[in-house]
Amino acid sequence: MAGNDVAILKINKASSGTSLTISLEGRLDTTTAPQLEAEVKGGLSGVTELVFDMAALEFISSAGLRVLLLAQKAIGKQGTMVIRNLIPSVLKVFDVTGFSRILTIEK
Amino acid sequence: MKPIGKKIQSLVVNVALVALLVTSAISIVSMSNVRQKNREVLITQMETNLYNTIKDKARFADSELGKYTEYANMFADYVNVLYRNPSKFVPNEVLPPRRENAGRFVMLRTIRDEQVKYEAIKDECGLLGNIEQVWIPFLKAHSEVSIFLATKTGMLMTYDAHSDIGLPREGQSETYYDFTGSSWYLRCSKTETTGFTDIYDDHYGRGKMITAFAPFYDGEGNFAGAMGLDILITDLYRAIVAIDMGRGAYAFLVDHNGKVISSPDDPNAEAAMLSEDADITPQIAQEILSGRTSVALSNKNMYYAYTPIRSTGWKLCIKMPQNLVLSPLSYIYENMNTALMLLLMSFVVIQAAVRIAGRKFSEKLVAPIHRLSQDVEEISGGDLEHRAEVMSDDEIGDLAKNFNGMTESLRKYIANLADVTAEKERIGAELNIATQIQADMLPKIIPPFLNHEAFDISATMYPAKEVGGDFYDFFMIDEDHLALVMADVSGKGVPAALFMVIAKTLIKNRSMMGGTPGEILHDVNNQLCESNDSSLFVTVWLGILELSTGKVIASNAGHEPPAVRKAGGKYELFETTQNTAVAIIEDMEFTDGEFQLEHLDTIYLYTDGVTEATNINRQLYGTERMIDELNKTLGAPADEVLSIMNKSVMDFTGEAMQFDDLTMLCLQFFGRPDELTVEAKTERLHDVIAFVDEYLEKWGCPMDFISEIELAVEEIFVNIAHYAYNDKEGGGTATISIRHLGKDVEIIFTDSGTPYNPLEHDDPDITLSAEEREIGGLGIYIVKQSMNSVSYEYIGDNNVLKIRKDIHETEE
Repeated sequence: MAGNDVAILKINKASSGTSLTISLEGRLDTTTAPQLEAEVKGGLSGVTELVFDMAALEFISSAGLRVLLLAQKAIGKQGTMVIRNLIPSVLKVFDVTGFSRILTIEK
Repeated sequence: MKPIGKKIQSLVVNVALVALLVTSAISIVSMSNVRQKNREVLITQMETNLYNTIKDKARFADSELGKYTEYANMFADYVNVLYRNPSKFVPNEVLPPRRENAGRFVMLRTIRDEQVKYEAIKDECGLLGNIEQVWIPFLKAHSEVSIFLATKTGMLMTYDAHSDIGLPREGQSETYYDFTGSSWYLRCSKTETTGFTDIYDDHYGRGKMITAFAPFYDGEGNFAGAMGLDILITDLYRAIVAIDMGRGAYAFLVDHNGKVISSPDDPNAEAAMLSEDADITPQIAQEILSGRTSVALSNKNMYYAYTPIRSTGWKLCIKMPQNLVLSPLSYIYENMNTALMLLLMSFVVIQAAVRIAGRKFSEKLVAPIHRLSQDVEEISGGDLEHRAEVMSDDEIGDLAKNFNGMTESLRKYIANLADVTAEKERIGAELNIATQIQADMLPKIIPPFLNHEAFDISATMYPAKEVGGDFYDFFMIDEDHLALVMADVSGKGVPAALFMVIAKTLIKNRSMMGGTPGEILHDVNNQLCESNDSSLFVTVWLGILELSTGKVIASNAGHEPPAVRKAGGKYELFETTQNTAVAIIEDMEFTDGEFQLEHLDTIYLYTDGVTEATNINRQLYGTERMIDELNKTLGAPADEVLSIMNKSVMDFTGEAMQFDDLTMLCLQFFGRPDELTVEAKTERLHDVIAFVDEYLEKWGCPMDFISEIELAVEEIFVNIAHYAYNDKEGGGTATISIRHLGKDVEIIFTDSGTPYNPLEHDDPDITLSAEEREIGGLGIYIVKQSMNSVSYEYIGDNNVLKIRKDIHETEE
């Protein structure tokens, strides 16, 4: 992250029936995690298939992991959650923390 | 152990034994050769001898016997003359034997028988009586024979001294004897030739005899009678047959009938047949009778030499036992056996003598050695006052004398050695202490100052002798100034070491008082000059590094220039103005030089022990090689640089002796870390990340490394923002400092909030399911997992959390 630019997280949602795909772009850290937390808390009713496409996600911290854990706990009762297209440095955080075992990761 | 005495003894005995054996063997072989040769020679000689003898004998016999027939012929011729010329001779009456004539040689007549009337033959008898004139001189010369003649008309005429034997019988005027039955007359009248009779007994009893006969003829050439010469066998034998060839050897004659005519013992003994000889073989007998001339050996070891006698047709033989021939040989055998016996006896005697003499000799020889051995044993047992007895005036005596000399020297030497050893031990111990003191004087590592991590320093010294003249030093003058000293005292050993101690102490003490290195060396120089009677001097490189700025002020007093590496570049010699070495001239000015160390710059100090290290080929290690080797150490921490350089020098010198101390110092400058102090609030997170990123990018760190550092920084900073100042109105600040330390990046978080060690928190159980997982503690866990080291200290009311990570580990 060059310069003093404020970290940005872009969140795109694509819904199809009960299936919801959330595409993340940028950094999911302490400062941006609350944005995603808000999206997850408000938008999961009726969703049985939740997909996170993280192809464009550059960075994740424990705050981001916390939101994903919340989402998993929320969807766990009504459907499935899948995380896709992790870049290696992000996947490594999932591996270190054991999240790659408790969440469904698709390469 | 086999004693020398025994060795000498057995040597002598063996030599004598071998010599005797060889001599004996040669003698025996020679003797048996001689024996064999002798035997052959003797036999050959004897055979030749026998052959010649028999031939000579036969020739002689022939000529002797021939004489008798010649005489007979001669007389017969005379009678022929008488018959042919009766008128020319006066009749010489021959009388019958008369007693008064006994013992006198007279002509005698004997009539064949009474049929013959003397009157009828009276004229013939008178005529033939003239032969007396011829007979008388002959008989005087040949007494061994009897001569007679017999006429066909019946008259026998003799000339002898035996008138008494053939006296006429009583009443008769004539002596009668019928000679016509005699073999000589029979053969002569029959053959009308000259010859010999076989052996017959003399009718006068004189013994065995033979008769040589010859015929004579009347005026008309008709056979008129026979002339005869009687020869006694004994005489014949003595004259022509007898030999003297040794005991058991004798000669004999064999007549026509195979009768042995003579024998050595009794020539008149009854003749035996040749075939009755017990020693002869039929073949040899056959040979003899067939008239051959030869020498033969019978199967009874009897030699027979034989040849015919032409005049009589007899065979002359010599019989000789072989052992007679070989008797000289048996004499030789006897001598040989005696010689062998003597040899054997002398062998035994000499061996015994040699044994005894050898033992005596070796005992005599060994006794002094034995005695010397005992003496030496006593001496080697520790009695150095003992002396060996000099028993003999020879090499052993000399040895004993020399031993005594050696013992005396040894005694003195040991006495001396005890003193010297004690002295040496004392000096050695003191030297060891000196070495220890010297080593202890050199700083080990890192003075305890807060900002000591502004540099990484390492130094080593390998002295060539127990105590050397090199030294290095580094010490903090104040919080911001580090002094670096590299020096080399001229000379070696204790004086150099003592001088080194003084120099080191003076430099450090003077440095602590402030001033530039030039000023410091100026003062130290004056102080050292004051008391430098031993004319030692010291080359010094003294530099003072300002940690906050990286500025170095240095003064070089005759020392090797340091090698300096600018970050990212290569090592180069850094020359400053050269000054004279310290402790040479008083009141010298020492100029200063100045240079700048940047972050990660390295400075390498050394003494000539490095550049002048010499290998066995007398090549110098040299400055160029040093720079090349240094450039192979890029990126290594200071201590590793030194161990690499040390190994390089050691490899170069190999087995060559280390002449000089090997002293090196290496310092890598980091400088003071850059810091950012911000309010401890999550809103400032991106400022912190941006601050960290700036350096990471400047140092060329890889993207993954940067990501991991960012994650750790976020987790720690957010932790501080959330918890540090919870019980403090208005919150507080956090300071983040970052620097490049060797291969690592180090980031230190300092806050003055509630003392809290996040590392004490238990790690989350990452094996739990999503539903069971709690989110707390995950941040610190991530930090611990991704950093090489994480440490917490509470220093001066501050929480200090330090993380470190190796830049290049992520790459791999």
